[in-house]
Amino acid sequence: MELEGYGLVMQAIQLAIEIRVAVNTHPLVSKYFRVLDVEHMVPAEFRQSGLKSYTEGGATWADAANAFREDEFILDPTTAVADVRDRGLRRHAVQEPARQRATRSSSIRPRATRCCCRPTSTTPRSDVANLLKVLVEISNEIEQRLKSGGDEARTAFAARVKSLVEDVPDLPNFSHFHDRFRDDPTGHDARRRHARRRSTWPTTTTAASTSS
Amino acid sequence: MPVSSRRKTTRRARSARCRPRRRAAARPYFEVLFVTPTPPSRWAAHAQQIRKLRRPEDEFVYEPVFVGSFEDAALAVILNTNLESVVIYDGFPYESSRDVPLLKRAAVVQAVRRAEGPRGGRQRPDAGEDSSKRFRPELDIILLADQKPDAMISDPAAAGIRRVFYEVEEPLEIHLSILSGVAERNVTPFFDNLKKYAQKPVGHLPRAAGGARQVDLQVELDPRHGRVLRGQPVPRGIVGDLRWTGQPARADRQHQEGAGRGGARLRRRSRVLRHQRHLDLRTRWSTRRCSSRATSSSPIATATSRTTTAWCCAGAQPYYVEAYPMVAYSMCGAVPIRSIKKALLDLKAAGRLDKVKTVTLTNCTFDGHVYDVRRVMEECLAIKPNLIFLWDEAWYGFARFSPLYRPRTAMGARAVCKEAFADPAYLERYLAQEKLLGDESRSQGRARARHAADPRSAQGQAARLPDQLDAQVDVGAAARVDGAGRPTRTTTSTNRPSRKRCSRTPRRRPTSRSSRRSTSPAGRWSWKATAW
Repeated sequence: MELEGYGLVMQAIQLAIEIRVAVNTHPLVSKYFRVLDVEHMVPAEFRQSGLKSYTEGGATWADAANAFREDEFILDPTTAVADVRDRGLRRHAVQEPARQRATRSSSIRPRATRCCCRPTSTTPRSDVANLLKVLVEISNEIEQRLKSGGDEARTAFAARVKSLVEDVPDLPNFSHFHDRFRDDPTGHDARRRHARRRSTWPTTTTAASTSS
Repeated sequence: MPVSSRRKTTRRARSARCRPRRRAAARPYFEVLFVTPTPPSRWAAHAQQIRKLRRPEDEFVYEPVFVGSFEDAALAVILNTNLESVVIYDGFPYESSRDVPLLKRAAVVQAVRRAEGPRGGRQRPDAGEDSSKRFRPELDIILLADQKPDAMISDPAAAGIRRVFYEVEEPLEIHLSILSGVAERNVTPFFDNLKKYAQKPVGHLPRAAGGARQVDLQVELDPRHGRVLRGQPVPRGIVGDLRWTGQPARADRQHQEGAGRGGARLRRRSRVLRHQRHLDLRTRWSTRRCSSRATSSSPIATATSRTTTAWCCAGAQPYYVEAYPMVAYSMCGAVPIRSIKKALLDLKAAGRLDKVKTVTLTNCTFDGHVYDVRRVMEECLAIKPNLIFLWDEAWYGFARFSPLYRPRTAMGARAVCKEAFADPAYLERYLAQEKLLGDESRSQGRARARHAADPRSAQGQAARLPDQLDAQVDVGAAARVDGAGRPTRTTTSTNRPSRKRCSRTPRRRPTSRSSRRSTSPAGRWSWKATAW
């Protein structure tokens, strides 16, 4: 397998970069889909090298290699996570068509509000075109729906975008394991639980502090 | 008469000469890089001489690629994916004759350049060897030295060289060394077994009457690449065979050697988890097994979300460390190093650090977050020097092949750590750091800065790193890279108790007729019933 591993992985990275560029620059598709880049996935505090994007801002291989060497977390370039939510879509809109029409060897795994596409080492180049074709079809369907529905459809669409983008629910906050899996449920772990609620992340603690 | 007969022999001779070339099309092809100080005008003639060495019985066919300097060689190694071997002639120059500013600036090359000797003039041949080994460790290096080849090969710096020859003494030997190196890497026991199995004739009689094994294996092989296009369902029997006998044992060993453990021991049931588990198709169960081995008596394990089930099942006490949230996208990121360190330091303050046995993290999460593996291991070892790390790299099997990704894989980082700990400069850095921190070492101040681990305590444990920095590479992805396809049925079969039973313990095949009859049909052969 080592006979071709180097070349295949290089090819997979290349395809992933092409998917990123193709989706984010296509005039129609980019209205409804956006492949998340490094700056969206990794907060600045974990990016010592300051790399923001693999595709935009004139980033070269040298910049990417630098980020791979220095940063606490990097985004795997072959994982293209498309955010479909802030365009008013839920996964059902993408999941079935994408599964049925586009997947062959690149795996597309939709989750609740985003859809992830990973070109693997055996993904042929034509799969990128195929994926884009499906995304164009889905985008067209949405456009048609919005056009034919008139104002009602547009306001409904705007409301849905708002509910998905702005009224984001907090992530579930981890509390503690069941007593069975702890040595002293009333001791250290319990103290730690309170400490957690006060400290850690400002964004997640809101839910915990309001509930307690 | 004599004219016609001469023509005949000429034609025959020509056809004989052509035959190997025609056969060559069917053989796997690769390219060999020749780094040579000879002037480019002689390269064509040289290449012709090398082509003359081809024989009909060769397993592969290759073409030579010539470069004249270190920089050109670096460029070729980076860009040419067909390269499988590098033949280095003594005394090549450093600077490229071409203008390649990007190459000179590229960070990869900077990293590669560390190994090289003084700039300009004649290069030490092992400079080229070392740098290409760092970049693509799979390449074979053959060195043609013009002075004392025996002294050169015994130099520890030349450890990565496959063979050293004295000048071009034995061209055929060089040719055979190139071919044998590639042939060694081209052996795929797992895949060969699958192909052999697929070629077996399929019987149509019921098993009770014919006694023949019925195979419902639809393996379609891509004729060009030899990869599996469609490989399911894979029957129970073959999975069992592949896991525990002959071929897979070799495959497992080979995989370990490939992963950087020369002379690996294959201890299938070793108490201590010493090596990567490779050919395990039930990832959840393998995680659980590794977990239970790594943590023998009610320990604490630091883990992220998805692996905690395994720990609970193994009787361990999970200590959950949260990943950074990405609320805007309703996702979780990865676990920051400072959170892990804080958890360890909290436990230390509570006097429970001795209970911590392992740290389990998912490297390359579903959303593509990749850890700085070396830093995590180094800093955790600075707090507790005998930690075990389990890295779940199910989505990350491909990473080993890329020099970009490799230092960020478990095994790649392990190699880097091992090298760093053996360096005296690292110990100096550690001592300076301890002096600076002083008693503050107990406090939270430690959680902020980046710290070096104590390399002495790391060396104190015999052969320490292999025991400590164990990595479990989850296998789905690795098997996929292998080209063997993933038997999806196997992973989704947990709800069938019969299959579970036969999958947990490799059952010995019943020998006598009566015992075969007493074996429940839902046991060993249940794949037949469930594969439909």
